[in-house]
Amino acid sequence: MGEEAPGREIPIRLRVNGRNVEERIPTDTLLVDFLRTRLGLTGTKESCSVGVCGACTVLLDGRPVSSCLMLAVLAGNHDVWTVEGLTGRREEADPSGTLRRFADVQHAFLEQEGLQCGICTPGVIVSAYALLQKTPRPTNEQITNWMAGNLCRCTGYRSILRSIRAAAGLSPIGEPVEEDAGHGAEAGRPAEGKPRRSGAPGGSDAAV
Amino acid sequence: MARDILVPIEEGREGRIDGELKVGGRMLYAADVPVPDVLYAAVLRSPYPHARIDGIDASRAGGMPGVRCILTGQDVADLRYGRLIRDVPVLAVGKVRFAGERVAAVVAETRAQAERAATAIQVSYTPLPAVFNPEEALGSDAPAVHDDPWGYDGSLSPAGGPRNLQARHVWTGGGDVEAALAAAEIRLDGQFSTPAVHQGYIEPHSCTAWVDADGRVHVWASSKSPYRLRAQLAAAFSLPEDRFEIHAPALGGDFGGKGSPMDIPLCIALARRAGRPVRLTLRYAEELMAASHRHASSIGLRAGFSRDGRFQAMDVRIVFNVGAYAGFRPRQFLHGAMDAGSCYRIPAIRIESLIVYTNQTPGGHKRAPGAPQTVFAVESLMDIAARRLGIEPAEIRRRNLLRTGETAPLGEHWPEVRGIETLEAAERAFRPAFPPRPRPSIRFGRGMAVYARTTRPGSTSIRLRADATGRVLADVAIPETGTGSHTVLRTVLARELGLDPARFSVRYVGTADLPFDDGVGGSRVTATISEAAVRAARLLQERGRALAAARFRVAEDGVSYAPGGRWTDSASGRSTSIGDLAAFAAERDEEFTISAELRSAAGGDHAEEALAFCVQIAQVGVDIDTGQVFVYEILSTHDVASVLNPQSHRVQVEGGVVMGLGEALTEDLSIREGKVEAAHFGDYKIPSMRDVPPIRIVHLTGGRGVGTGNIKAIGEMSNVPTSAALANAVENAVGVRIRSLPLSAEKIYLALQERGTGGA
Repeated sequence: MGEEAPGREIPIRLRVNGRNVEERIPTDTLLVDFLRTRLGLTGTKESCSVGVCGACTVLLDGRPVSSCLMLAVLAGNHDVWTVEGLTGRREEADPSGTLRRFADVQHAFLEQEGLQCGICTPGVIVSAYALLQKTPRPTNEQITNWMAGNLCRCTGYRSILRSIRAAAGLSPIGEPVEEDAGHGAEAGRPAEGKPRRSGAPGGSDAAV
Repeated sequence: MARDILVPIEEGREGRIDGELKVGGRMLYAADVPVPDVLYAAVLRSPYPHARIDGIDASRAGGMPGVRCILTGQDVADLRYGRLIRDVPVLAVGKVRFAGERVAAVVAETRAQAERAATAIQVSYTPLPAVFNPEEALGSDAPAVHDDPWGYDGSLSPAGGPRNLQARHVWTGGGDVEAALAAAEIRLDGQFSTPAVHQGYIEPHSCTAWVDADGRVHVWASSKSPYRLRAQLAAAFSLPEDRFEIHAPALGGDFGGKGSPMDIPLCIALARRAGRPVRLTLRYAEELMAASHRHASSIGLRAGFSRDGRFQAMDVRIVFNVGAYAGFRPRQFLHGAMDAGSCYRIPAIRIESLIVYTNQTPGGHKRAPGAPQTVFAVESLMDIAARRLGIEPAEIRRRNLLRTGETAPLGEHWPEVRGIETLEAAERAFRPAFPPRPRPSIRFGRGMAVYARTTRPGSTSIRLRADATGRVLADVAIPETGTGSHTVLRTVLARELGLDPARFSVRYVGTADLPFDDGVGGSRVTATISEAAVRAARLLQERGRALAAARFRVAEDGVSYAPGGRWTDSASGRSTSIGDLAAFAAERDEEFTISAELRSAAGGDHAEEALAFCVQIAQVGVDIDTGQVFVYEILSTHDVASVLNPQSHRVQVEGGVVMGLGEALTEDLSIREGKVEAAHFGDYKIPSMRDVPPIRIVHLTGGRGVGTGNIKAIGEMSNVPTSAALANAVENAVGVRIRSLPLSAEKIYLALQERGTGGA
């Protein structure tokens, strides 16, 4: 391993996903690399490396941070949670019904299909969970402002918005897929000699 | 707990087959796959767009901590790769042709060590005259990007043509275009341009290569077409295809950009030299400056209309800037060039596509290659013509859209053409979405655009294996890029066999042991995979009949299948299940398994290709003081047939609209003098959640699709017309016509100033 200045190792202690970790870490190692490479926690992704995309979001003492912008040694004496730990963490349901468990947020994303390729998803869900811990019933503006730090290229964000609203127990936004069977001269005419097939029911919010 | 989130999500409704792995962070992508003893690579890239390499001194870098080996162009000078034309060097040899080109690569124990050592490699360059503008590159005295472009394997450079003309294609349809233009009642000419734009997938390219003890090359990579990748690697390394095995991590987004070998040949060369597995993951800056973005284009239109707004002729000249290498493109042309006017009745048309080498980062495929460029030009022209002729934008389109039974300008014929119907559905659905009390400097506008594309199935292979517990495992060769294709496969298998979807598993097996697959692309995946699933389900029923007949010792034709997974001997009334037959097969040292192959052919009642329309209406506000565009709503109307998974279909539409929105308003690699200026996600602005307006989706139902599943394309529909719809809305709002993308506030502001109607 490198012994020149940028790679000098120092010992740190931190908690990751509820477990104590003691390691000697090169001072220039980023938290995202430490989590992924040293601890094998590859659920945290790295994309932009400049703190814009949010794929590397983890919780540091309960607050979301971009682990690509943070040196691992600076996480010393702090409490880090990644998607793996949050998924496995035992969380009792909040008796008041206000706070959402991580599993509730995950469930909402599955139900509303707030994901496609999934590469941004761990960061998105960690951010969304942090939002709902802080603001259990956010407005759309609060959601979009908060989530602007998590880029997703697949979904176009509308299903992420629906997921977060569902996780928060908020009413669905009124964006049903509308159907038109056609009223024009030729519209909706069944193909020659074939039974008319209508599209399956739209993924409407009515089903939420 | 993880168990809390198991599917099913809701009674009668299936979640994504990969959803639980993804929300739990357990899905493995190329950069996540644990490979023992893996080393890390970093690449040194050219700072010059065109330069001779006079020397490379890697001695200091070679002695740095952790460094295992370094390769330069001379080490891999015999290797060139490409999807069709093999013009891409693994590392630059003798000269560099774009800023960002790979010059040397370092392998070290850690990525940080490799990156540090790469910066210590000394390269001496002599800058050479460079050419960036494709029109200039076609001039006889332009600097040559390649000395002998005709000499590459698969070269498409026309003999005797300009040296930088990488490919040319001309399509004609109908009568003499020049004569028809000369005779036209109204002539309209327009010049349009679009910049280089990146796919913007969140997962940067990553590959890991390992050469095993038998010399077999293993690759874990972000690839959307592993079988084609294998063929391209075999060609590059002059080895048989079976010397390569492409393993199958998940893809973190594709959008057309994950279909080339990219850095995989380099990674293999590094693994060979290092004698250990090597991983190379691009930094996003490398993605933006050196991957394979959408080609920048310059599009000249000359159109003739009658006074009542009917096309009389159109001449289209498209110049695509492919940059320094053409090996990231699999064809002689970008398919979308053919979309110029393809949904209209045009009695005489000529489309010329020129693809030109320049000294900039190479272009490749992005979602509907060529189409957003072409459609931006043509759909802008439709509004220009409407304005000139005093006809409503919808009406001029209605007068020109093809109807069922008519033949398209280039001769295609479809069983059903629902352009007018889709347009009318969009108009019926339209409701103003303008805010009630805007700032006084805001002007409202609406704009429309039309796009149509064909659906045809591709080729794939699939294997089903039933086990004694009654479960069915589907091995598939087609990757899941995120669209939900593997979930659709499960849906169709379950439906065809009348079984609970929970009894199926889908496993993507890479190139190990299925015969072929032509990868993800062309909006064909649902058509392909659903047809293959229908075929596989029928074969499984047949195989079950044979097994049941053997078990009951009766003739096969006495056994029938019933939904739910039971085969019954009609004579005796005895019946048996999937699990029983799998156990019976195992007793006989057989398997209850079938293989199905589909080769670019639809089955069922709809063998012909289908045409699908998308009509969008955008509503905007433009601030006349600043030129800023506010998007209030995008209505996306789709001509659909059967929708197999409504929720995934919807997310495809929404994601496409937002990708189109980014290309329309903010995205531009901003290549100046050959250098990418927008080299990170802070400068290369893909939309964030805050940039996204409400999206209304309307389905014109009842369409005729392809294949047994009755499918119309959706993946590359909604991203295409958005730019034109927004440009048309801007003109509708403030009366200025922006002919180049993106529709930035600066351009609109300056256009308003020039016209003298801007704000104070």
